[in-house]
Amino acid sequence: MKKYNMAKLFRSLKIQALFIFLFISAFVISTWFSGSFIYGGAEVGLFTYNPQRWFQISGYVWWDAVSPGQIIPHFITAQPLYFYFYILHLIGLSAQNIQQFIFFILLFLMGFGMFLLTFNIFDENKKKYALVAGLFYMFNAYTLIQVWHRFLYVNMFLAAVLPFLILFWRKWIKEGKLGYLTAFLLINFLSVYMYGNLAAVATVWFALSLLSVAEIIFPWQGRSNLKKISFRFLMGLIFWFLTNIWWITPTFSIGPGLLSAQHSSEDNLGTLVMISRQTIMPYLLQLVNPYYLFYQSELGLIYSNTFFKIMAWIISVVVFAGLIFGLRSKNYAKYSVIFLISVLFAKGAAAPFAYPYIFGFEYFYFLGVLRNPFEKLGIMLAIFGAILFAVGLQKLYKPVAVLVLVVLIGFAWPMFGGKIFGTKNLPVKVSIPESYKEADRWFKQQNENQGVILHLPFSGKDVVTYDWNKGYHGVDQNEILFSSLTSLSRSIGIKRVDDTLGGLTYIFTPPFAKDKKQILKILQNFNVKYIVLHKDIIWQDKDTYGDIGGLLKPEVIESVLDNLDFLKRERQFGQLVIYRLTDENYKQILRLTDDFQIIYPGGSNIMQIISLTNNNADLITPVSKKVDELALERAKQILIFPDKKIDYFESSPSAMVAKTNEIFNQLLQIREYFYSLGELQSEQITKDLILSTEKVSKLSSSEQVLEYEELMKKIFKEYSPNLNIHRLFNSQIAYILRWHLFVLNKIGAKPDIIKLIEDDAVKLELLPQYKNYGQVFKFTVPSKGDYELLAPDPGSGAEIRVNGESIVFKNHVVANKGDYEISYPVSNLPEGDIALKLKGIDDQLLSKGSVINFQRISPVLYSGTVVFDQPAFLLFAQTYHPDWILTLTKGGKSYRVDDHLMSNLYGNAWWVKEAGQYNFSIEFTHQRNVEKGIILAISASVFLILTQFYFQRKGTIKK
Amino acid sequence: MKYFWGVVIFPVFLVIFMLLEYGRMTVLASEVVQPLIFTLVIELIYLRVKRLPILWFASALFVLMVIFYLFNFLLLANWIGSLGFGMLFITISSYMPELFKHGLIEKF
Repeated sequence: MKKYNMAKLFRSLKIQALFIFLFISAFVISTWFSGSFIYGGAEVGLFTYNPQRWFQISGYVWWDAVSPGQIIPHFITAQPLYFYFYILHLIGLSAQNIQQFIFFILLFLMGFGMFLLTFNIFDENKKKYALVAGLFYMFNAYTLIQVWHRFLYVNMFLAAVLPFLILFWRKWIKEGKLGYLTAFLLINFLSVYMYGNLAAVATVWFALSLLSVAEIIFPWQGRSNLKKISFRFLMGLIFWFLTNIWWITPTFSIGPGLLSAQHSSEDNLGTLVMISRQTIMPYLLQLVNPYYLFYQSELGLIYSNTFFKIMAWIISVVVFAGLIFGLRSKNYAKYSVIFLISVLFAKGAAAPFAYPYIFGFEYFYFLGVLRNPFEKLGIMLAIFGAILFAVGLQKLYKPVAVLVLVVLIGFAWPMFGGKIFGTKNLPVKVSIPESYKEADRWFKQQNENQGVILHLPFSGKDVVTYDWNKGYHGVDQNEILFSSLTSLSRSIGIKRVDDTLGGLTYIFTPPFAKDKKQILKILQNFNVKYIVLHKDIIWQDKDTYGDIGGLLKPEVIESVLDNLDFLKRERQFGQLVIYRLTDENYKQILRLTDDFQIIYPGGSNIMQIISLTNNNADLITPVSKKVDELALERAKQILIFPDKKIDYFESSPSAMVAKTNEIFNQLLQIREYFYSLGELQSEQITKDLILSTEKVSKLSSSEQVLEYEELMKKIFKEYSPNLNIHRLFNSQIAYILRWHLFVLNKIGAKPDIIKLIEDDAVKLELLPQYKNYGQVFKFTVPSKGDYELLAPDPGSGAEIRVNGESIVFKNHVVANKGDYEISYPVSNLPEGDIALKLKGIDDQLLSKGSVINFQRISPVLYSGTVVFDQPAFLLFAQTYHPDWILTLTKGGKSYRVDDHLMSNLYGNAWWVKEAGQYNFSIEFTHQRNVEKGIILAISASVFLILTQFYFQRKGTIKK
Repeated sequence: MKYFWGVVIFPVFLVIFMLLEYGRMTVLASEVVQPLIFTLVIELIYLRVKRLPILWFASALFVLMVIFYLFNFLLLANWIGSLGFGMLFITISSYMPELFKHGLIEKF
């Protein structure tokens, strides 16, 4: 009877808790919205706006909606979430309603999930304290700042479901019932959006691993328990892997290459070291991120007030008491230990025991996902801290405990009233102007199924600032605002392509705007059909646009666009002006060309290249393979741009001393710069360079050189072109090395040390191989030829040098395959880059054939029919990627075209040698991994469910 | 023998703590203090000195950290706080055998 009453009591406590957390969540969320806006901008953009469009885009690893196309493998995890949003949208919920709903659910799950987890752990007579754990988890400083204020939905989802994941995982490894594993996997699937941030995988499995180990060893219950839990752990991991393989395979097969192109090892380490200065013990133990709370005071200056500082410590003291008391209880000791270990990991490279993290980041690139360890792993402090907080509170007198709870909720006051997001100046409230919706509707009415909308002004950045009703500052989301065609409005994070896109910033402004032919050519290259001019852009916003803002004045661009005869001004909606490219000038996404030139862009930027490729021929660039011989013969010209430009000015000793002093002072600032960024390797090299420069300047005889020589060997051993010291400051380093050589030569130092510095400096491209004069351009010539030098005339009497040898300017440079250095005199330096030109054929072929028809089946698959009258290039105006595969079919035989090159410095081009009519398909192959993964995940889920039924049935029969 | 090993483990742990903190042995004299104190804590635990006072000391360091933090002596607060956390971590780690055996620390 007693047992029945207790069970009833527990059940009622759960129901009471359910209503309490429902009420709190509803109350909190109701205070966040008081108008028709949504919270958006910053890094999340328009998360709940136009879910249908989000749903369409997120189903593919290739996003063509963001022209010219980019690979985003990890966002496929958002597909289930946008499916739910889409359904909510279909039943009539607005973007604001969906956001209110999702915030409410997430906040409720945080509190109730933590309650259930703690309820499951606590002793029978302490279960009511699980409510306290739920409240702590909802309102602690970490949740306040890192989950809500940080405003990243992946963090919100992770925080909401992690208590449930731990709860069911714990039940699974302890009891071994398949139902718990199924529940764990189901929750994973429902919240798979959180794995859009790969660090969430590390956080989840780090927490589950710690918990599993703790269950095995606290206390040790023999090998059979070890085997049992290890087996369940492994089984859980395998099923998790199988049911998530649909996003794991594309993410991990594409992601690493993509990430390494965007973040270097040094960037990761720098971020870690810099962030670790904010995760020092006085901040970490309060669970606060000082950057937002104190340095930027984003939640108000009140947090710098001593009273509020004491409030934070009152909460931490209770957690600390819980940690100590917890160690003395069999039920809680493991959570105290897990909390301590979590502190150790969440603090990153802060003291104590700082080095293991740094070591890990130096040698294991994949650890880069944890470069902000407090943000990624800190949620474990909130979860296990919540348990310890509830343990600590049990030891307090009730009135004091109530007071502590008041302090906890009082500290989180921005959670009430919607002041949690953004700052006073940037409140991240968004109200999308009606004109955008009208413009989108107008585009839909045009019934166009291909072509790109170019959004101007084009800043070359992925962030925009608009003067909307409540303002907008955050990621550019034109692909969501304009849903019928693809939008070209931002950079995509690939250096070569971003540089090419950068041309769109300049060509609509003087002096480049005069060249109408060039503008048309670029619009055609990017498959542009419409232009939308955003006159609502705040181009004066220096924080967003920097110095480039001056090029973005909409009025200037508007006057240029109005005067282009190949553009028609179609409509104006509010501050949006729409132009359309005339039909005869529009070029399709797929087309053939035999009018082309081969370009080796080297290190030159797009405007330099444009200025020297003054004809209409398409640009073809080899990426990994050589250009076919026949294509080389048929090219209009071959242009080779320099890989690198090095200044090497001879100057008088006194001028050198003055310049060296100036650069030495810069080095002192550079050292501070790297210190501030936490970039340890670059900082150390700068320090060593400063020291070695001091040493070399004091050398008076060759005998003193030994110590200096050791230092220089160390510098060159550590120096790498991948380091930021080289990327950002190589000209300063080069000059300092020249000063070193000057002194060493002057004092008659051993030739060995001089040779050491010279050889290493040349290898690192800090100094030219041939000690020429003036400006040195380094070229890589891919094949032998009679090259013409495309450059301004240096003037009469001036000579230029090729590999140290003087030539007369007008002469051609007969070059074999190899590396060349061409130098210009100081008195006649060219304004921009120079290039080597190999003249090709001038005559056009009469017919090249055409793309007869084609169909865009999906963003990753195109098919159609093409006729080649002659060997020609098939151009595909999507960002170049080696995994775009062209397959041609003729007479029942299919073959893959291997001559895959880059077109117009961003797109794809395939050289097809054999004439004829073909059926073709162009496919981005990584999407197939997703499809295979979905089949595997469904199979694994079905297998698990059937197994569960089988065991349940077996159990029932036995009973 | 106990004291012999006590002498032997001292430099070994000093090296370990130096490497854990800085990844190298060549550091400024002031930087050796924390690894030295951690080594002393290990030494005291090895010599079976009572651990409760060490825990009290670590807790006192946390109190000091809070005081210095409140008075905006952040560098000092950080140094004291990290010292306190290190001592706490080492001391609690020394209870691992008890935690393995009983799943809790019966007596500090």
